[in-house]
Amino acid sequence: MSTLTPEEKRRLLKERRAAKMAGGNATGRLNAILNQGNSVKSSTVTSVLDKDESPKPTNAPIPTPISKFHGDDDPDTSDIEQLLSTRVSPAPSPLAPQDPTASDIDEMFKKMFGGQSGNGSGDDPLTSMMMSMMQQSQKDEGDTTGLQDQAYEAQLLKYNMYNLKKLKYRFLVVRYLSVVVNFVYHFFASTTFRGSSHAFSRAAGMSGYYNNGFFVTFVSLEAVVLSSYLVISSRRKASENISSDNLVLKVVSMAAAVVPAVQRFQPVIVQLVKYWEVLSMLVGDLALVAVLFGLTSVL
Amino acid sequence: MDFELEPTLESIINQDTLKWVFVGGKGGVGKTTTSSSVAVQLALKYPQDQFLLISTDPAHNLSDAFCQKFNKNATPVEGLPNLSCMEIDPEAAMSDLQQQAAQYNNDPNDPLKSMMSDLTGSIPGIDEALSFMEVLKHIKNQKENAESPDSNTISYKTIIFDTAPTGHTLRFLQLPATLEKLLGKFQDLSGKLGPMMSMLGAGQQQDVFGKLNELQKNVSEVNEQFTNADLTTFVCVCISEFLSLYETERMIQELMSYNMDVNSIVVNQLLFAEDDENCKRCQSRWKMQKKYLDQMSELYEDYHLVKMPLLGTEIRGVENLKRFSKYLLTPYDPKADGHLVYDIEEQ
Repeated sequence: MSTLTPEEKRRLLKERRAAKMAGGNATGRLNAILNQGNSVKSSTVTSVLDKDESPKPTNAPIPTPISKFHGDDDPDTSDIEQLLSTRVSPAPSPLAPQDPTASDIDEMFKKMFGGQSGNGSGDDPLTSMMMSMMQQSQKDEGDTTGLQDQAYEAQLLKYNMYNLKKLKYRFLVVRYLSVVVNFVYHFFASTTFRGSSHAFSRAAGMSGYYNNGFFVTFVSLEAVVLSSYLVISSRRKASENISSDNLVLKVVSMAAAVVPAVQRFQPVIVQLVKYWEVLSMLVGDLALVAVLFGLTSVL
Repeated sequence: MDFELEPTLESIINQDTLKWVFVGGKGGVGKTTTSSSVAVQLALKYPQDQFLLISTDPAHNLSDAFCQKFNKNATPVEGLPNLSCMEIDPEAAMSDLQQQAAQYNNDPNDPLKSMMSDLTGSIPGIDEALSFMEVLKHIKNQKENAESPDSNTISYKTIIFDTAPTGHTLRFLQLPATLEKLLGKFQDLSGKLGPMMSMLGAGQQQDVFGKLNELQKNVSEVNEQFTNADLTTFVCVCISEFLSLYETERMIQELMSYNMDVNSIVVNQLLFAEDDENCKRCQSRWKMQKKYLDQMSELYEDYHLVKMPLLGTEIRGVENLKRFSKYLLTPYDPKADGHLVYDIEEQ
């Protein structure tokens, strides 16, 4: 014994201490202490040294003297020769595997933010928040939820556009029917209700009761039909879908992406586009009346 | 084979090769007193060499222990010129760090900059990271001294760490390995992106990668040194109570998992009240302490188990520390050395 140098003595003692912790003894030691305590009757705490034994899927096995003890069938006897051979080259820290590909970046961040063992519990709120954010982003990348949402949005837009068109066609039929019925009634009720290429003939007809009656009815019907269209389309939030179909609004949307200030005027422009649509309907109906008067002039 | 392990820290004080001595344990067990005592004994043993005692605990106590104000710069202890102390100030170090970062980002209105500074300030473990930077600084100084001995930087024979309670300390000791891994990743990245960056003329980024590589080398060196028992050791401090014993065992196991050397345990605040028949409380408490001491003797037969007495007053000032620290090298005998309990002068 006296021939051992202090260095050798230190090394042998270190190995002996490591051997005593090996083979699940570390957990046994912790539990032995805990069972002595008055506050804890039984304990199932696991030592960090024994946790290392379980193979981690992301980390390669690490060649440390401690881990070698863990693999030993006979942990009570320490193999000094084996330990000495491992000490020839300094063993890497178990937390610094030599193979960089074997390390897991998530694991590393967990350690960096004190999540592993620094505070003993690993439930640091900031850490858990960051980890959950990272995991969430990974999850989002992994699954196809985003793509499904996009497809659903596109289909919904198509369906809304279809509904809007259906509404427009229905109102078109109502408008044309009302104009035609109104016109036909007045055409047969009055002989002066005719179109003419002669100014005097038109002047004579304008003063008649039926001529005024046609326009009063026309304006009333138009007011009712167009305002109904405006109300119904607003209820169905058709304006939200106009932007995808209207060139002006498309240009405005694109401009808003470049100049954010434009976005402020977008609701006003949408409203104006809506009124323009109603105005164009009125113009279209007037055009129909003009065509009908034209037809009567040649009959 | 059986060894007679002396119940003192003599092996640490006599170990000529030691560069780093960590002193740690649960809160309130006497870490600062023990680390100061170790530092004082080292300074007395090797008067020709310089020693540095660093407090990495955010709640610094070194100034109180030595009755002298210390700051983030190494300041010699009055009455013991070859021992210097420093208390790492995370806030001051943080502002230094931000100043260094400013050379890469000069825009004062950059929102990212203020966000980063807020973020780095709130990262758990930033205190430990800053303490670690101090370690890196000293390694650099030592290298510089080895290359040119005439330089003004002081090279310390041994640096003693008065650490924060267990959790902080374990994070601090985990840091070199984690950093080494992280910097390894950066190095891979710089290898892949380096040619592209040089094509784009990003000289500054190249400079950053160069600095990171240099940092990685230093961190690897620290990691190697910390796991080398000839260079680094950890002294566990505890009291003879259940929670402290459990914490000590847990810490020893954790340190072993980092491949760090722990060979000494200091048990503080022992009453040695066998002959104190007048104080029932002392006897009762001493009975409890003995129970845990017996358990420790069983658990730690391969460790230097140093038993230190609870004194009548606080151990403050260099002279008191000298008196007290003597018993780290000679086992305390309550019969022969009982006078120590009341000999300490109140500061």
